[in-house]
Amino acid sequence: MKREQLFSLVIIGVIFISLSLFKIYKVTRSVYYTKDESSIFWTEGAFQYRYARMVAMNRKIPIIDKKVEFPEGYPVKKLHPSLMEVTAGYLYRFMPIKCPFHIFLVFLMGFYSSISVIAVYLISSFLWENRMIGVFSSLLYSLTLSASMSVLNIGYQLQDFALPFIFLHIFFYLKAESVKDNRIFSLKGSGYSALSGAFLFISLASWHLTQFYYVVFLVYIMFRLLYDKNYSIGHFIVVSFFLFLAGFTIPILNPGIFFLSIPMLFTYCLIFTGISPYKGKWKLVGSFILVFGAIFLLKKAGIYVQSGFNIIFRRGILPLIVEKIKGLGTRPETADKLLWETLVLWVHPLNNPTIKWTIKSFGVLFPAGIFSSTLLLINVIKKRSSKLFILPIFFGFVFLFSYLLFERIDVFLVIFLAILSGYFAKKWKMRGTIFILLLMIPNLLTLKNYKPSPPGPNRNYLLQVLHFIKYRTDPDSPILANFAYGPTILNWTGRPIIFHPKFESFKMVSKIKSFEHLLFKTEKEFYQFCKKNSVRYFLLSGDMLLSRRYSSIRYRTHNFKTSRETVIYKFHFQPDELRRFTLIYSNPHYRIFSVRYPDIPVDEAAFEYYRIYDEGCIDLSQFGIQ
Amino acid sequence: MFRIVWAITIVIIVISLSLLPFTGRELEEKRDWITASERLFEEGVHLYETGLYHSALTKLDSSILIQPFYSPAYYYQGLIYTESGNPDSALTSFKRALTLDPESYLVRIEMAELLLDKKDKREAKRLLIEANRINPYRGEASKLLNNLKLNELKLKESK
Repeated sequence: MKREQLFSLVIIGVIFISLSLFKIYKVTRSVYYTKDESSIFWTEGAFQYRYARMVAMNRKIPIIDKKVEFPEGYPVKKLHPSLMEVTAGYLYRFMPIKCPFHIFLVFLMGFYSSISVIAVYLISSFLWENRMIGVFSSLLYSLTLSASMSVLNIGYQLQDFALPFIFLHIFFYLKAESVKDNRIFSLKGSGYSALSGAFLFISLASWHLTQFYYVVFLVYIMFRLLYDKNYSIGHFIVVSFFLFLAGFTIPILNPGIFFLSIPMLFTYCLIFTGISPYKGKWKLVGSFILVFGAIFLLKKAGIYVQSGFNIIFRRGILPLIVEKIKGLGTRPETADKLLWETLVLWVHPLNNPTIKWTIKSFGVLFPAGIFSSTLLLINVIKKRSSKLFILPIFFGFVFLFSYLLFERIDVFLVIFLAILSGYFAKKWKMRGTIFILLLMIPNLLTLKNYKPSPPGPNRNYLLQVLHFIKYRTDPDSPILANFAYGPTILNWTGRPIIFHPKFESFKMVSKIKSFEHLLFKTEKEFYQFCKKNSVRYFLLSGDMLLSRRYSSIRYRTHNFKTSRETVIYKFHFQPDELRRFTLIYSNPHYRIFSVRYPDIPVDEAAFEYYRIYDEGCIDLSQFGIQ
Repeated sequence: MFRIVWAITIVIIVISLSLLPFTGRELEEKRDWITASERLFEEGVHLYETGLYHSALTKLDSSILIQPFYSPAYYYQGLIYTESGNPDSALTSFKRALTLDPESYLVRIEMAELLLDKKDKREAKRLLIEANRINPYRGEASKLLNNLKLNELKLKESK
């Protein structure tokens, strides 16, 4: 091994370990980190924690989890990519050192989320043909807050596990593209493509959003086929083979439906285009007509079925994208014309990024990355730079545009900005490197001084609610609560829940919509909903009636103005007027109501005064209540 | 060839990990939902109610160490310090309880009583007025405020 290679590997090792330990240190020193695991994770993180804990405790994950999405049950195997949880669970079982599982998870997250540092090094050093530029890009990446924010906020998120594998897939695909061989398939090229496909396989099994990344990848392949006559389709065919294999073996990809999904149809078109002996751009059009024509006929014959994911995309994500583009990212003044499905998604982390957020998340990497991407693009067009740069430049600009619509895309964008910023080091060598590193000092300070956001609402009041549920309700009592609270209630009280935050379950999403609208109807109608879903207790949070923020129920159900005749008003201000519900617990943020059933004894009513629930203490007109 | 073998190995591992956890016998969840911190809290409260303050404090301290976000633990800690004749520690505990639960009426009352003992009438009065605002239907704050006013009047008269 050469000295430079060894030196760069040692530095990368140091960066990787430093970043991992830094994340662990920040999390364990966070005000929100506790030795007690109760409500340490929130919403999706809490949901994922449930299954990780199951595997860690040597329990089987149920194919249909009856306690989630009660009474129908949640089809875990079919809808939830559980590779991250399973890996964590098995590692915990076989590690010799034992500590509470949530503490182990914090340490594990710190390390596996930092594997992206290695991916950045590999891609950057390969593209720039200089290992020290690879180190430079890795350093830029690790000093940027958006690369670590999710873990620092004690979020047990699928993206932190899946992203390093997506970037390793990109690295091996670039290696495959670099192999100069006139044949469609060469052993060396196929080897790299196979590894690329394998890493894409891992990410598809770990995270639903990988499918979105794959669509962007397909657009890139289409672009290359259209404008590069010598582009070899062989590498893509090998990667597609792994996708095909994924469609058969990964349960969440719904074998049968996946092969007829839009990304796969697009894949077939590109393969046909690539292997077609005909020349000209019209062969792509011909392939599209052939494939989509066949699907049209199948649909007419009643064979083509849409997956839940597609329905959510059609009714939620797509209108959201259209609205954001129409309004250039700003919300419309009134939400009346927007669907509930769009409004429920238009919250963090699917908000548009603000300038403040971008400065905080990216710092100087944002302008540096865009500047170098633009210069590189000009170089590629003028054929002064290698064609290998087309992929990162393409992804850089696509994810930049996507980031302007959704702040969540920052985790993709940061990698490409870091890689492409290697241009400074390549062009201006030591001066460029030192210049950018000096400008990264504010990034370093932002990272060092970052104060994590609280993972969830006020913990004290939430713990008090959980305490009450544990001590004063039956273990099998289903609880109706806002979907964000579901996993917390299930994880730390064991009670079945009706709602959870995984919107891949479209039937549940429809139920959430009904529930939220019924809060502004009569008590009878709301009671019918509870009865139909065998709800035993209803958890009311104070913001259900009083909040009108864009993330609130009132905003997305178009109840900016509401009346005193609604059941939610009675729950909040007049619980003694309810005929079918009994108030059994109150604290300043929450109330619990038991649902009255003919064959179940009525729970003892408990009324405790808090001014938030006193009509006399609040100017109702300020809250749009007439 | 070596790379292809690695790729196939990765795929086999991922398929196994994706399918294995759903196999085997389903065991009923027998998890104890009561956490260690809750158990210690309940034991601490019980010991306090039976008058064993030192043991109660040990339990509550341990509970807080594990779960520092639960305001009732600080409240009871404050009560124990009050009973044990340690008003400064009691005030610290009550302040922490109030930070976590700003709407707490009882914590304000306890703090006001301690401050009155320490002759800090101004701060006690402020807490009592706040407590009255938070819950005008309970009488403790009003009673203490009335007593304070009476004492002030008596003092003026004596002067």
